[in-house]
Amino acid sequence: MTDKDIIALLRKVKDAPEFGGDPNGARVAASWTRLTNELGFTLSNQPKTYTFGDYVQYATWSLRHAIARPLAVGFSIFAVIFGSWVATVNASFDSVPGDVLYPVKIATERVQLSLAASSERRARLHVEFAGRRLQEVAEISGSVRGGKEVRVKAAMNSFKQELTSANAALVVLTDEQPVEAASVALVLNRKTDDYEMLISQTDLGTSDEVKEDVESARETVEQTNDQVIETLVGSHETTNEPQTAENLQGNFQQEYQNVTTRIALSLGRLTVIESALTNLGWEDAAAFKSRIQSARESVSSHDVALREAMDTMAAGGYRRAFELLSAVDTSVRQSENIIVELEIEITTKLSQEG
Amino acid sequence: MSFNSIRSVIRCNTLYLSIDFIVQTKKEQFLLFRIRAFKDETAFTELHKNHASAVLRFLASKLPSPQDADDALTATFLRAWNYALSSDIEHFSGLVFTIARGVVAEFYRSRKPEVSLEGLDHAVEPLSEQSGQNLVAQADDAIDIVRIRTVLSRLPEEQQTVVSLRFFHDLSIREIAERTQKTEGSIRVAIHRAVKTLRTMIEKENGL
Repeated sequence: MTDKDIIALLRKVKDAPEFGGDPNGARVAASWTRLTNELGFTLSNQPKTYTFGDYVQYATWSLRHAIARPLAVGFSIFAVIFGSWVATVNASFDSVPGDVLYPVKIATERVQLSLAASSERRARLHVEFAGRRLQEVAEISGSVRGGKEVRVKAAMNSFKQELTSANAALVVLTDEQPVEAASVALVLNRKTDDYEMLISQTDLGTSDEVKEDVESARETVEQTNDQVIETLVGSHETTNEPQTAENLQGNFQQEYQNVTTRIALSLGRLTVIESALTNLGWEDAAAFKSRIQSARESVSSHDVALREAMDTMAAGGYRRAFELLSAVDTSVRQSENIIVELEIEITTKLSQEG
Repeated sequence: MSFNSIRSVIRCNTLYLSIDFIVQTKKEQFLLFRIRAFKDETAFTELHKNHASAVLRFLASKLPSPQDADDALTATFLRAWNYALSSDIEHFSGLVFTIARGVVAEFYRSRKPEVSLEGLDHAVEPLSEQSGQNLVAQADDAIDIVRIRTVLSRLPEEQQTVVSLRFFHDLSIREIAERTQKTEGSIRVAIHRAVKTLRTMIEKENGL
């Protein structure tokens, strides 16, 4: 076989769907149709052409954008030095949603964002503001203020928005400045641990709506964690910095421990369910026992994959190691759902008989 | 043709390519401005048209099936639209590929084992409608696809990228060098090494 044969083979399979081949554009067109339906686009069949006025508008905006920032910096320095803004801003710092000075606090943060000269600065600001929103949640929960649930909901939603903005800024930064992105990702990595701890430790009440908000906030934190890992892995692949390697290893160990603990917990729950069934002596216990056995086999089947993930991480294959661990995490999650279903069925049957 | 005239032709071509690059970049910035300021759907259509094929090839190389790649393509551009509405973007191409990498990571994080039924309904045709020769050719093609996919996945990411850009996207060496910010010489070397590695792996599989 010669190199020419290999090149011929590559060109031969070029248009296969498995390699993203789309010779007549049908796949891209189908994807575009789904996208426009989802976004609710109302495109007309006539192709749109831009006028000279549209281009002038863009040129004007570009020019304004280029000079607006230095002007805003100059103006804000003037306002800070000569206005009474400083005292008001300081007084507003401890305010929470619903307080009189809270809009001042938010306005100050917006000004800081608009003055941020780089994507890195914007990302760091969003991370800091997300932390402030969670502090507000903790402050509200521990206080005797009226309308707690409404205030908690407002602060929690703002927290999710700030974290989503931090995530978006990190995505843009990863593309434009990977080294700076890694530095922001490291900060965000530490902060998300704090966020998770603060969310779990704060007493947020028993309302279903608040519980939903909390769950949604947790998902946002998880998505942020995924983006942080993606940025750190990408940065490490480019720069090979020891600090990113250290953080990736730390993250991996944490996730590994989390998965192995959940496996042990799941096996424990299955044992409890099985012994409860034995004590109940139901006629149809065999069907339940077969499902328990199947769940147990599924939960216990990850030793090889976990070992491979650990070995791959030790060898420096960070991306692959996280992929392997993620696959195990998904499988364990499915088993946990099966265990919950079993517990609910047995409890329901018991309450019907009782 | 004299050396001086050849040199001036090369200079003209370089100037043309540079101007073309600047015009394309400015056009892209204009489209992104239209989306941010006016939620201009036509502008996004243009960006999608320019980048979707390349993103699809990237996703197809990372995801297990063509259906997964199609779904991921839609998810990628959905997120790109949302980012474009709220953020200043310098390079749309870089952004969509970064989002695509995130979508791939999320796919493996949340994947449930499923059997896709798409494609099964037309995968098997009645035997009477196919000649034996057609079946053999189809089988050969399928084997080639699996073989190439397997060996490609074992190449380092950099070599996978240059092979894909050269032989699947049909880019020239110069275009690949511009896109990857490397010299033309290093791209030629990378392609040569990649092809050699692929040949070695395939020969090893065939027991040669």
